[in-house]
Amino acid sequence: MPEAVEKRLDQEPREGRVLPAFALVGWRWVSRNPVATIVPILLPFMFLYFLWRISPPEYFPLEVAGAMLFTTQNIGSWCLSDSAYWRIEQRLQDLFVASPMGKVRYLFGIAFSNLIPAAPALAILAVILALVTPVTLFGWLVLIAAILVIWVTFSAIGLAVSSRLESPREVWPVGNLIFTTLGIISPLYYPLEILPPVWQGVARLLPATYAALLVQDALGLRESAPGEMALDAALLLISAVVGILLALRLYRWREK
Amino acid sequence: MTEPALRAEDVRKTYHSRRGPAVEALRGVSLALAKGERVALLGRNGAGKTTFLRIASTLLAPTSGAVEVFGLDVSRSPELVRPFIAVVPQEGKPFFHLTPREQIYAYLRARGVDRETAKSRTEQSLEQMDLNEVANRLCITLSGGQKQRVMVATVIATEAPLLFLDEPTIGMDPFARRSVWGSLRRLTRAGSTILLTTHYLDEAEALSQRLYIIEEGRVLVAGTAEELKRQVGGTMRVSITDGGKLSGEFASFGTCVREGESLHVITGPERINEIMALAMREKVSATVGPVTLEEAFLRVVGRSIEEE
Amino acid sequence: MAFGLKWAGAGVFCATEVRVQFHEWLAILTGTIVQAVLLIFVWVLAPALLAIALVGALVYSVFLIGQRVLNEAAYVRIDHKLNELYHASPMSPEAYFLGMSSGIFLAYLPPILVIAVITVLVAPFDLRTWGVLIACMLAVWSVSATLGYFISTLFKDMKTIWPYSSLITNLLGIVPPVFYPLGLVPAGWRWLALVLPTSSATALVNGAAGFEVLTSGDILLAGGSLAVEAIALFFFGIYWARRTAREA
Repeated sequence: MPEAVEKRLDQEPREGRVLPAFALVGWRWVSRNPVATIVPILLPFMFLYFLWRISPPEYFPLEVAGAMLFTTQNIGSWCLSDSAYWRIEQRLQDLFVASPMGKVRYLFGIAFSNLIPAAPALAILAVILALVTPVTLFGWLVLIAAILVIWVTFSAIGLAVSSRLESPREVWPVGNLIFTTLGIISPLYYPLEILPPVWQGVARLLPATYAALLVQDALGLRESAPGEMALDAALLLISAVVGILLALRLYRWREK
Repeated sequence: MTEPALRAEDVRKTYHSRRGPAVEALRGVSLALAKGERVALLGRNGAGKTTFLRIASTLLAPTSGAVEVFGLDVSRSPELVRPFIAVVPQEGKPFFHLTPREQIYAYLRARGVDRETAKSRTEQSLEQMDLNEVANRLCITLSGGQKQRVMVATVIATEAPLLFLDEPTIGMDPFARRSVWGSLRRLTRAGSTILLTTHYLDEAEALSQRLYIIEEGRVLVAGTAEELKRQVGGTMRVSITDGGKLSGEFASFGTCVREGESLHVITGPERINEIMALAMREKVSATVGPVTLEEAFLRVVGRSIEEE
Repeated sequence: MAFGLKWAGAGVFCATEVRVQFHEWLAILTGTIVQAVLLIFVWVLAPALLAIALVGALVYSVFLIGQRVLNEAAYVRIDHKLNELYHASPMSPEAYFLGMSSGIFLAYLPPILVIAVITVLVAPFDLRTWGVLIACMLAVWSVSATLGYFISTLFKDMKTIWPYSSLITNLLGIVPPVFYPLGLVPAGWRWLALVLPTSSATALVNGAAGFEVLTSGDILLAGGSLAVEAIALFFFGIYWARRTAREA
């Protein structure tokens, strides 16, 4: 092998780096499209206003915490959309496949770049939560942990599904179906106990339910049996692991 | 003997679809690229060029056959191959909300290139691809040809040992195409190997050191452009617009290749005058020029590169 | 151009659009998911308001057609450039706009009819209420389709469009009294609710059905606003379709 080329192979980076690239992608999206940050801030409030009109006022702190989880859950649909468009329309995924980056880093990058537009909404909702109900340090830690796990879980679900789409036109209906269905029954905006028993059983299958119950417990917004928090935390983590495994298994890095 | 940059043996690919019959896109393609070579895959639309390129660049799994890049099997060890390659996909578009400068820089950083090197290569690549004037404009505001140049610039900046370019100059004006050619020549002088697909015959002739003509998933012929032109049987071409009527009259002068309403007669310079005289007697128009790759392609494939 | 010729092709294009949309039956099915979510919330948190929420779901479903028009028009223009095929043809730009809007409306009619059947099972409508409902739905369609088409022409990529689409559907569909009664709106803001197209349409239907009590002033304000908005926006839509048929 000629010496010049031998050196080149040795000199090539063997691993990609996620944060420098995708932080730029996420930040630039937000900085050049302020509406993309403002709308995720406004959407939970529009929804909260609607709920405030029709529900008892004592539910409001629970609804604010639920709005934080719902905003995080929505990141999954943004991941689905970005991943599908970049792969199908712009063929940008090809650039990253033929590089040292690797599938895991790429998927994490997409999830990370979509956390950036959601961050301001989460911060504002956190301030409102602190104003409407006392939050202990333990409560904050549980809330942040739940948000991170929900971010990972729903991003993974969005990415797993996006890989199976063949046309960008499928993004909206599929995203709508999956993420609205996953969020519809979860007690993000009301106590689980007011659902009929059959619906409670269905709700208990959903990851957002575990997060909602965990957060409501930690914030003192519901009474739970001893050990229930630990169980919800464990189920939430298991959901995250399942989501990650689904994404790694289903996401097509190389076409068949 | 040094190991080739890329070696493919009997690569086959069949696409199965729920909605129609299976399509055999590749039917046993074998080829090799030496290190530092520029090789073009030439063929009509649907010939299998992109399919082969995507298999070799680890984007697509083959049905059977073997492809090795620097001695590494792309099917069994794609993650080992990927640090050494980069690809310009067909009809790719940059991130719309980034500028060309950011697009190139972000991609280099994503590949693990350190900050300083990424910055200097970004500027170099923008300069080479003549993108400095639009370097700070959002990619969404660029024309189609400019977007394509950004994609090529992104990949050129990687200076990867093996570059795959799928129709890299599609949509570009002649000046931009020559910029791309110049950049690719510079890269191979610096040690990179390049495999590109094209259906532009002038690009294949100007840029590639060797080329493979692919048709219906098979390699029909390989060689340099000059070798392929010599195979046609002459050095001069007389193109006669005869409406499809006069093949027999010119057959004795050399190899005749029909392309629609035109007849190309491949012959030596000593017979040109006779052919022109006959064309005048038959009252048809005729033009004279050197044999080009087009005639070689027509002879090998039996059809014009524009025909489906 | 003669009046008839101006609209020539609208019917065929409408049929084309219906066929395109029916290929995406999943989108049609999932187009009612948001309404279902909101109805479930009402059923869980305030079941007494269910009949009103169902009327709101009907109006909101029609309003969402504007979002579909936005997506379709933007996608056809940005990704496929198919609008250029139609604009450089004898079909007029207004026929293109009308064909697309009406085609999507027809394609999304089945789930709307399902919600209508559920509404009638919960609280039967008389003939007058049906008349008011149909008139209001047509008016809301005119408003939302024009808004959707207008917004679709403002951007160069699909990702940028999403926040605006989301903002409008929520601002006009969730915040105003569409899924909850007009009576819950503070008195000082009642006039605004009666002027916005979605909540004015809902109020009129609820009033006709007897679910809410409207004064004659309320009816005049809501009906007048909705009529003016529907007609003005329809003509604006035609003007804008002509203007954007050729890029500036």
